Amino acid sequence: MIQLRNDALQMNSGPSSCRRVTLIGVGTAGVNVLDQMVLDGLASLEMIAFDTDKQVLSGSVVQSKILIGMKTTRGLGVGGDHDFARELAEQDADRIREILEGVDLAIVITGLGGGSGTGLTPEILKVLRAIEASTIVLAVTPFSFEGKRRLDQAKAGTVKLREGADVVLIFANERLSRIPEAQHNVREGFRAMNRILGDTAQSISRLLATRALMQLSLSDMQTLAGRQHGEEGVLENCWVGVASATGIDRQRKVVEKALAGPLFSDAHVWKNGDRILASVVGGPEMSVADFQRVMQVLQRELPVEFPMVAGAAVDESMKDGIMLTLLVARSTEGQITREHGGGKESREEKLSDEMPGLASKPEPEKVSAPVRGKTSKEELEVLATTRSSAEGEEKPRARRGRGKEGREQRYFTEQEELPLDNKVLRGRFEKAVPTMFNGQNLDQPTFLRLKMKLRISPES
Amino acid sequence: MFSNRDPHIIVAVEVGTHKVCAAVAELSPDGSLMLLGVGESSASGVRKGEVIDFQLAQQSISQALLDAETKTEVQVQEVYLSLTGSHIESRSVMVRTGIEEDDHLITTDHVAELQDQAQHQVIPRDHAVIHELLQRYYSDHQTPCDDPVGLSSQILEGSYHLVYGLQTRLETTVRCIQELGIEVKSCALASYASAQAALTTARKKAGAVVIDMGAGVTDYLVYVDGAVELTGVLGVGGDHMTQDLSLGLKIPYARAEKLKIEHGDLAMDGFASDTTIELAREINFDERLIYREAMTEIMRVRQEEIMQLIEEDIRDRGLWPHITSGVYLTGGSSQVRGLEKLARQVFPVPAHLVNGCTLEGEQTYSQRPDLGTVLGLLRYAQQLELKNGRPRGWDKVRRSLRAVFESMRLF
Repeated sequence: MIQLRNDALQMNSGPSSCRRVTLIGVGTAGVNVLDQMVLDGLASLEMIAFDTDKQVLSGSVVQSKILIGMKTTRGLGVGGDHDFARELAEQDADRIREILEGVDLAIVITGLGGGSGTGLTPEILKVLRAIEASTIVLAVTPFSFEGKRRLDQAKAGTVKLREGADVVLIFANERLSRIPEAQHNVREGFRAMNRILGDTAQSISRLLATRALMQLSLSDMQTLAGRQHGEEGVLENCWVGVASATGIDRQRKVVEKALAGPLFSDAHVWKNGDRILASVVGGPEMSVADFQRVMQVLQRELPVEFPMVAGAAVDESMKDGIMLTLLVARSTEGQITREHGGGKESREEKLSDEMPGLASKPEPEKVSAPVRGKTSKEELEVLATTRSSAEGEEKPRARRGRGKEGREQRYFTEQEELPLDNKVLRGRFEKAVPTMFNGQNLDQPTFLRLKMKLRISPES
Repeated sequence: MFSNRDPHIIVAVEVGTHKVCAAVAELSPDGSLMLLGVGESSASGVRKGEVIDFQLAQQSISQALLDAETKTEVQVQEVYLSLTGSHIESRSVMVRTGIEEDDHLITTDHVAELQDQAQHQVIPRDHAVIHELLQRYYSDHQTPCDDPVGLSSQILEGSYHLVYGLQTRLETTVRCIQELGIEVKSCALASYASAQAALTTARKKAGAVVIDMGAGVTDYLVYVDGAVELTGVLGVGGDHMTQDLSLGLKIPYARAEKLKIEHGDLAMDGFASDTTIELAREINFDERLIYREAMTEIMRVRQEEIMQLIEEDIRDRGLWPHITSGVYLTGGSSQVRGLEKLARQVFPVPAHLVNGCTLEGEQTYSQRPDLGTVLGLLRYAQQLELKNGRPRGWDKVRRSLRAVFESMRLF
């Protein structure tokens, strides 16, 4: 099975693409993402896996696997010590350079907080910069249950990444703890994140490739993610939803599915994000009208208005399907605010508050959402759960209760929270065809569409 | 027990979003209609007038029919069915035929040919025609006439109002009944049926709008000069009002429905702006106080929007100057307090509530606006039966065969 993929790889990396685009996985997390991509049949790009742990690499199905620091550690890893990992990478810098020579664009995927990812990535970025390759980093921050040390390392890591890379997109693993599978089984949580990162890397590479239909440039990505994020480093500056759909009305379905992604499951993203990148990948028959329709639906369904850049690419294997990657990022500097101005708090306190899934346990909503045509059964199970719950909307309210806002702000808040998630509002009309009229969804309460402010209940 | 095969018995069924009704009436030899009773059951598996859960919907229909059978002692075997759903569209078409005979005499054959042409108009793919409602005939030089047979003319033209909807969705509702072993004799657009209950011939002639406010959809139909000029179905209804309340006031759906029925109002008449309503404690629900104004506003803007959309549609087509009789509001959701007043503000013509349908016979149901459609459907069936007459012998077989072919074309 993997042999087949490699054939495809050789075909695609032929002279048709003049730039050499490489996916680099660093550390256990990064390697796992690449593995997931290979297993999902997404391995159309050159992939290189870097790690200090021999065991991790030998279990990987990625084609090129580079073990760092073999002489010093005999492949036993660095045991979470990122300084040690950095030293090893410095020692092996020439070897790394040899391997990466000729790369034009590198998409580096890594997990922060551990040893290899946090330590090796900045060094690899240095090498890439030296050979004048563009770099985009997709990084995940640890779950909060992984402990404070990892969080601290991750924070320090983000600063280093921003120094070394052109674009840094940081996703929070924590946000996935909402998925019921992740609550029972950590592996499933990781797997979902791997898939999200893989899909994101794939779409970014397609958009930046020279043969894209509507190409995006690196500066578009830079604008999206911002260049600086303070000295401390922001632990989450990117949220993404990936979905694909086929058949009638696929343009609408794909938008709805993407917006229902686990990283969009609470209002957090719409509060803290400020820019959107939409990437549409379609089969050879995708028309401009298809693209336009997706954009129209997207404009309508997005709960907030952010500046948006869009790109489109064609993938022969998609046939009549459409794949949408919705990347919401925070471009501005400074601290990520809490939902309702809870004031400046210490970093640690903020972090635990920011991370969802700790305070409330939302009940899952059953939705079957097969994404890819050739989805495996296992994947279906994961995807079926990647939809946020209707009760997820309860979250901001629970949080509000903890705050010390005045009465005035309280009902104001209630009114503000509602429009954020289009899905929540369908309720009774979940299974019925939405009533659309002049681009408005009439199923949405009129008072919300009119943005009416109501006094609901006297304080008791 | 009577059998419904008896040509004197007519059964009309409406599969609504809120409930399923089956009305049974007797057609007396002189052609008048006598209501025997109405069977009802609360509907499940229906949203916005369309079946979304086949099994549940079928159960509801079965219950309603059983209820009707118990109440009227008629064994239901064939029914007339009303159809609705926001996928239903309509447009007016003009068809013509030349009278090539030397005497240019218009015969029933020419009229039949026009009708046939109207039925076979090009409609969007996957759609099926529900009605081709004759508006009027025109002989030479665009002279309108009601009955052209016997006139002399070189050409005969006819304008028809064509109503069509997605075939699969219409089939689903029909199949729901057919699979219970009950024949669907004919179908009618819900608003057309309601109009037969709400409007007299004089009102139709004077130009009138009928709005049937259901739980899932709002059907509307415009009569101008005695003919149907416009029909429409909005996929918004009373359920939306409940849903709005539920979301706006943060209360469960069922609680919102109860609040709507008990206190629902579209205006604050006689209430101070800080009047509150107490929602009593229930299982899984702590008692709460809400402002009456919040409830009223949520409901009012929704209802106002529905009526404004209809008003705009009629205005866009320039029909308001031709409507002199007024707007007639019927359907279950028209029972909400303050509707008539609000309607008068929205529409440029007088608005009236229609309190049910006056039929002879059983009078228990005469004051029920929510039965407007099903009782109107009985009227529609009556007209159809009388038009077709009472077939006998071979004629009966021929007609039933033709009915089969017609229904095959339709569904």
